[in-house]
Amino acid sequence: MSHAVVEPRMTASPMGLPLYNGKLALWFFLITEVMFFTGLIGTYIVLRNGTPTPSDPWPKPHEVGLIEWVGAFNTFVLICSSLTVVLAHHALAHERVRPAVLYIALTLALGSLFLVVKAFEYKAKFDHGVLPGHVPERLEGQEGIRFVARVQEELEALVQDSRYSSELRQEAGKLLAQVKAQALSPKQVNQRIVGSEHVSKAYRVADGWEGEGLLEKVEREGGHLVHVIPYGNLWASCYFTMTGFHALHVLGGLVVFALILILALLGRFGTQHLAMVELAGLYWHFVDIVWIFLFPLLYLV
Amino acid sequence: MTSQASASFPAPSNDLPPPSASHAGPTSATYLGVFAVLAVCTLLSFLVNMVFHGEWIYVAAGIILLVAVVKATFVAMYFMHLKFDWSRLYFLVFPVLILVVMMLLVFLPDAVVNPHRDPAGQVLRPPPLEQPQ
Repeated sequence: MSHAVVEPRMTASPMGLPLYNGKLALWFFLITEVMFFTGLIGTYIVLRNGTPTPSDPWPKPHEVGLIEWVGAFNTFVLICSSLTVVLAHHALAHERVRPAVLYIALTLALGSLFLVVKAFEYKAKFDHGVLPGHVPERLEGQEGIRFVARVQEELEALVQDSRYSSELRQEAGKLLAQVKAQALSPKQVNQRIVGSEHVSKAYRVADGWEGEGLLEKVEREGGHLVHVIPYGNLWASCYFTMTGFHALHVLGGLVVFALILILALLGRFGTQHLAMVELAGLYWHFVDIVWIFLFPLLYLV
Repeated sequence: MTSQASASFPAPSNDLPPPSASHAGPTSATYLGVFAVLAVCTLLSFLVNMVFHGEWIYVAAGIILLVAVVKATFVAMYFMHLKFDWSRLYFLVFPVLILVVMMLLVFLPDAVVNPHRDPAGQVLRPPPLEQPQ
């Protein structure tokens, strides 16, 4: 009699994909995230191109406080961080643990720099009142009354603020006097602030007044005045939704890099973590790709 | 004849062993080269935006978006190793690329046809809010 013993198969089954589970799972996750951002970007394209008109165009970058070179700098920072994370993987794959840790630390630093710059950009929007629901767009009825009240409040503060030049405060005082005397309609107040050249057609009042708006002079001295930005609220909704979700994704990636650095500090990081670094890198490159599309769509085009 | 299988042995795993140095991919020189291309493309987008004005803005928009697609392709192909792993991942990536293009095409009618304009091209604004009595 002979006994046939079935030996267990200790090697990977020939069935299934030639890909380890973690990588497959992460790519599945990434393609769901691609669809998520495609939905957001598609919606932005529809809202931007389908709604505004020649008389009420979509806000230009300078109208909503977007500075193109800051966005370009942030793009460059993320590209650098993509390079450092892929060099970390390359170093670890060649069993060079210390350079890998240094590259991961550099990636974390660059990602943090991206978020810091984003925070400054958000603060600029908050300071200029460019927030969803806060940008005046309708000047009829109660909305017009509220707009004029906001203008009056800001002019009163400006006139008493010694940081501004006396010429500017004098000019603001003249407009304030007219506003208090209710001598101007909400549209006329807006036109005096924005200037006859920059006011959009839908908000133009043919009252014979021409000149440079108070807004430009105030902004030159580092201040802000509330004014109508056509589609400003929609712009702010799109901007904060898209860049906010992207920033949350960046933060998630930074948490993973921080965990890797903690492992390294505890002396437990080594070549056995190659898969972890590869997967973290894949996720980070995806975050970079999303920004590669967000930057031109929001800042340039 | 009887065969006796061992009573306890670990179930066969269908997970591959983790990647090793043999799967390192491109060299660091390649990565640096791709980084240089990405940096130049970013600068190109920025300069095109600064230089083109007036009726050329649509040409600028086309160039900038094309450059964005090129950058994303470089990041995906080299940094994400898709160029080397394509045969293992095409079944995931290809359908999602089709879905992305389809989704943007499906939105095109809404992006192009503005229902808030009347035939004369005037904006149809909603009436002013009712004043409370």
